[in-house]
Amino acid sequence: MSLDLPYSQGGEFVDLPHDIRLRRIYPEGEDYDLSARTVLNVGPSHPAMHGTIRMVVELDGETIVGCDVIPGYLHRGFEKECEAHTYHQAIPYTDRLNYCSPLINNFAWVETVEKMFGVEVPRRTQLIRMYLSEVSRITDHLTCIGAALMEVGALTPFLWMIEVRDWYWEHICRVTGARLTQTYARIGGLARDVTDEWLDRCEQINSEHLVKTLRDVHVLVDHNRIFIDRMRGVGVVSQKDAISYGVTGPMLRSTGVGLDCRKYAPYELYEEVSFDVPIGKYGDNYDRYFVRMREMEESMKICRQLDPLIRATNGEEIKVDDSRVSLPPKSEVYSNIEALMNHFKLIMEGQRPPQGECYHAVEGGNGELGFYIVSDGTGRPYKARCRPPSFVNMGSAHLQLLGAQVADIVPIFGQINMIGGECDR
Amino acid sequence: MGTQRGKNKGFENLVDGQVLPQPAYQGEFTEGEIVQYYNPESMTWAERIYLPYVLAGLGLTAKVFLRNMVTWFVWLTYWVRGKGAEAKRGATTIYYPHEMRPDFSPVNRGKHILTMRDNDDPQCVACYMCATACPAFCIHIVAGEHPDPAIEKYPVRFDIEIDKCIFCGYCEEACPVDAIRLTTDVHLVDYKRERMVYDREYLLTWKPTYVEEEHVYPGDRPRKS
Ligand code: SF4
Ligand code: SF4
Repeated sequence: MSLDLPYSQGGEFVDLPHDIRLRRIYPEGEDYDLSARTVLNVGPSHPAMHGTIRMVVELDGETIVGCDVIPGYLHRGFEKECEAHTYHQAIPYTDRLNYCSPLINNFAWVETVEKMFGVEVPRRTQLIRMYLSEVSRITDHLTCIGAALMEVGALTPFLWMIEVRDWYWEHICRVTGARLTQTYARIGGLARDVTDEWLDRCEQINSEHLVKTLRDVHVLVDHNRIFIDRMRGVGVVSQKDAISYGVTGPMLRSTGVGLDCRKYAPYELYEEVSFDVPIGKYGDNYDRYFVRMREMEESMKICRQLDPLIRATNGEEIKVDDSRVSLPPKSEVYSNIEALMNHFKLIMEGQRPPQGECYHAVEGGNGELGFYIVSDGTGRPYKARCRPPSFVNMGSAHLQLLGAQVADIVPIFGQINMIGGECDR
Repeated sequence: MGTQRGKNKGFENLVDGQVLPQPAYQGEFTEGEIVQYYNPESMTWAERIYLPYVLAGLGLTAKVFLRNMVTWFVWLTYWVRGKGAEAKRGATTIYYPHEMRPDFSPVNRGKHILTMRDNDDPQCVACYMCATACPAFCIHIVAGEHPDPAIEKYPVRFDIEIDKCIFCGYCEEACPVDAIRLTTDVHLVDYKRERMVYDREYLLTWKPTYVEEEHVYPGDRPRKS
């Protein structure tokens, strides 16, 4: 890219030849030497740009003075594909949005459809959904922090955290049937019931592996001068900016705003459990790291509260008893003609929610994950839209990057935790 | 589902645009072994001089290393007696593909099978349910007329493009006669793309390597119609 570009002052948008908009900051003064800058492409296939994203940064020495974030390399047309599939068939697509916590996406999607139907899923289903959402949140944060720490040079915490994540994933596989692409939620219920032994083992992973790992990671990096120097005061977003850019999730909470979908718009049964919303103070990387670490502990706390509640509902139904929504049980399909017809209708035409539109948001690993569906009364969505938290969070990336050093790109990006599948959909 | 704004303290103060003076975490944990949240403004002298916490970290990693080494040496004493499988190893890793991980899921969704009737005919009645339910559109069926009028239809061809399959399990769920199942088998590699289309004969006859008790496999114990 030529440097002969129409520059303007003070971080304004400027029109560029390739119709790429760069955000820039300039030192005061007329005689600033533009030719002293370097334009550097970070990504799209850079190992630290997990997911696939390209950043065009303009450097003055080692300081970033211009920055353009170009997402979209992982665009798969999720929203358009949904229109060609039934509501049921779209569930596997949602697995591939935020692939660090696929179950939260699953549940968000089916809850949106359930909201359109106006059905209330059984209590046991809601409890299991909450439990698995919290486990997914833990795996999401483990991945994010592990990768972010590895990128600033701390490889050991990464290995420890990924090991714990693997215990969780293989254990989730025992109830869902897959480690990553779980496709576990069903409209009006769940694919499979959990057992007491499953809960026991999950609690064992929580208390034997997760607690120890979190404690060890705290010992390793919290007070380490290298870590502090690279994280504290880096990637600061002010509270005002975070709100005006629509940032949500741990990034927003790190600025001191205690906004959490689970608290201010409780879905499922989150009103029944008590948990804290950890917040930071300055909105820098160090705060984000801590907010995520604390959130894992909170998720564990929620799991522990849910454990006896799930056991108390043992043996209850996990699907709504509504022939518009849930497939009949297999034993009836094999023996009973009404159930067989119902089964055929639901598979061939799909669940047909009433005409209308609906938005439902849940607290995903990175922030508010919402689905907006417009139904025209047929078995396929007329329009489906996903509000991906990391796409919106990436919108504030230039605020953090401008003025930072080139070495700060990686920790800042790591703590934004952009998930390619979700950001580009 | 009522929206209850202002329930959370932090959200009330949001309009001020001020940094919230929220205290450090004061909740309770049953374990009592979790470090509390804090973000001090400046470094302590111990952090400043760098060395104490680096040594603390080194101590922790050394502890883990020594523990693992001791575990390995104990394992070695079993191994020389030919009882290596019994003792605990010092690493979490497993020797794939020679061994399965101990918590390998018995309900993992893998390679498909078609079930058989008693006379080795496919159980499938070519109803196209699985092909309709498949989100990847990777099942292709050609139906034919069965000589037995009670069965009516059977699949002349039944192809699964396994390289397109996403192992969602919807075909299994959609089948009204339990003719298609997903096994736990995960070994799906081949050198030729053409061979990644599994036809009827292969799906009916291949033997899964990892057999769970609750699964019923073709030839093994055919499902009675
Ligand atoms: S597992 Fe899913 S993608 Fe694969 S063949 Fe069955 S329905 Fe299709
Ligand atoms: S496998 Fe089952 S669902 Fe598929 S065509 Fe045969 S009978 Fe129908």
